[in-house]
Amino acid sequence: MNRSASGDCCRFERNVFQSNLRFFSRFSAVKKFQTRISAVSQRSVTAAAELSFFSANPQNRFGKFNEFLEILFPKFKIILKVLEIKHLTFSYRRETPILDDVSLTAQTGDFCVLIGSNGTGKSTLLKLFLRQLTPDSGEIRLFGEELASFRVWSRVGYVPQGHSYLNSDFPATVEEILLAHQFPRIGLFGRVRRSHREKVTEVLKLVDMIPFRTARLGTLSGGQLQRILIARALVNDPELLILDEPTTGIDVQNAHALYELLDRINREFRLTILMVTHDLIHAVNYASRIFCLEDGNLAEISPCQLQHELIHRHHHDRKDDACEHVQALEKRCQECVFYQKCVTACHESSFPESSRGMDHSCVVEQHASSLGHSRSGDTE
Amino acid sequence: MNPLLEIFQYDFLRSAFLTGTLLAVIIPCIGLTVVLKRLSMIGETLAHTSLAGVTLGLLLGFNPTVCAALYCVLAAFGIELLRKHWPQYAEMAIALILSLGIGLTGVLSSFVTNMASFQSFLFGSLITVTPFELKLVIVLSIIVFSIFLLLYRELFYIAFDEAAARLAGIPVGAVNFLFTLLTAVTISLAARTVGALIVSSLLVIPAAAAMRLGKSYRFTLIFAVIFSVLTMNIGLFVSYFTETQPGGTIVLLQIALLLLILLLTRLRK
Repeated sequence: MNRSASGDCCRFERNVFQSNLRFFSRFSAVKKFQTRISAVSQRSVTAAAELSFFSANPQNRFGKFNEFLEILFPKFKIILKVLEIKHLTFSYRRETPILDDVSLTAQTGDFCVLIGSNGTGKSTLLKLFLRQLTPDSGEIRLFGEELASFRVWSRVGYVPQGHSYLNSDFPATVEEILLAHQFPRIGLFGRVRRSHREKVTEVLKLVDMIPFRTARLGTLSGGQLQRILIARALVNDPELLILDEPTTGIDVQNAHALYELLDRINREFRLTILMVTHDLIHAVNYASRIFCLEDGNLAEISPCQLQHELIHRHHHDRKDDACEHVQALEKRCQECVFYQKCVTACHESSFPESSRGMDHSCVVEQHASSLGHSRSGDTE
Repeated sequence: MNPLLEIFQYDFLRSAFLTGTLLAVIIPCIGLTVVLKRLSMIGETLAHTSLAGVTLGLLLGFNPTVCAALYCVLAAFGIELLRKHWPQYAEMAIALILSLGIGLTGVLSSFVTNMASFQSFLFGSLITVTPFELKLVIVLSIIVFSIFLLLYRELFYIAFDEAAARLAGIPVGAVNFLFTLLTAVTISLAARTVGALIVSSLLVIPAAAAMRLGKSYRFTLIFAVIFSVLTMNIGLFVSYFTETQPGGTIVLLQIALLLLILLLTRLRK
């Protein structure tokens, strides 16, 4: 993220690297590798300068180091387990578990989307990552570290559900909020410096909100507020970005622009994204991994599969030339963990009669949601 | 001599102006944060509940001012504790603590024999500020203002979005603790020296006026302080020449200015 290092900083890094190179070249063993080192030296200096490795946020150095190595050795991609959940169970007030033995792993550069019906525990799962709730059992690891001992929260950016929870009449400008969120850089009792203001410019440029730098929050529209929330989440150079239904209350055009932005961030900076959404069309187009949460269970489906299912759903509901599609997709449907509850699916397959008596609309919704699509006319 | 300068011939009026100006600087700093946290009534509550501390002090033979401050601190932390239980209903926590304070004062005051002393705590006045109280206000103002400047950004961000502030790494618990402590001590001391009426109005009215005009948090804060210092000093002059009660005059002046600002901003739109 922090790719615009100052000229002085670049010169300093180049000098340090070259002096280190001269020092190592005295040893014969190292000399064997000198040619190789020379070949990559220019690239590494560029990499260091671009990433401002030495001047980067000290808390994000590990992430920067990975990027540094990847530019140094382009064919070598470092994959880290950014987020890991093992056998997670959670229930509100000791009632039926809303999350039952859920496991999930997100790696560097993944664009993960979490889908599911309302009240299935998507936001709950995010709150568990953010330690706003405590799980009944199971394990959550962030960057390989247990959540209980994880302290470097500046590595995680969070965009909360909807912007309406914010007091839009709060007397503050966009810049003041983005500066206040840079607490890990500024520190307690610290003073705002030029570099902090430059960071604000950088993220505002990224979300295309430069003209609104000094605007009061109350004067911004819903879509603009959402962009500011994303800028706020990015201002500390996070390695994991968590978004909770970011397109809620935003028109189609703005939602599309938002997904384009997330896609760009994900590709350019290999930022891991985990997003909860009901926007299945965009999820299919942009996500690299799709997780579905239903009845406390979590299942992963491929975006390609979800795309097929969306078409399938369309034909399925219209009751026209659907049989061909249904038969082709039947096998894949059966892989769905909620398949047995779906009456519509049972008609095309050999499922027991007993399951056909269930409430059609309710179960179809569940199945549709489990497969990552909704009935035509909902979100499609 | 200029009649406006004539006022400064008197020691008690010089003290009144100095105390008033210092409190007019620090109380809006706390007030803006308090208003933005939806705790506008905390001033009224703490000022009234400090009376329970005063009655306890008078009954047990301890210094009533110290007892009032201690009780105020306990009450402020009680509000914070209850606020966590009902995060969406912060005002309920204030009402609960206010009821407890008034109930306790009512019961304990029936045992107090020195009612004159009790009354002086209930209705403090700017023109009766003692040299000891003036020194206390000076020291407290320096402490509160320094801490507020140091924690300016943190306090602002916690008031804006506590969850995000926690995620950004701000020690929300520690900052809130310090702020609650400062609020309680400031309100209890200010209520004793200038009266509960002025404390409550200085907390809320300048913040309300500034929020109407401020385009940024910094500007809102500066405007609130200027508004409060101006109205405090003009109010004292007016009360001297019209021979009215200073507390009431200042509050009425603030309300009049607030209405004027509301009208002007409405017309501008």
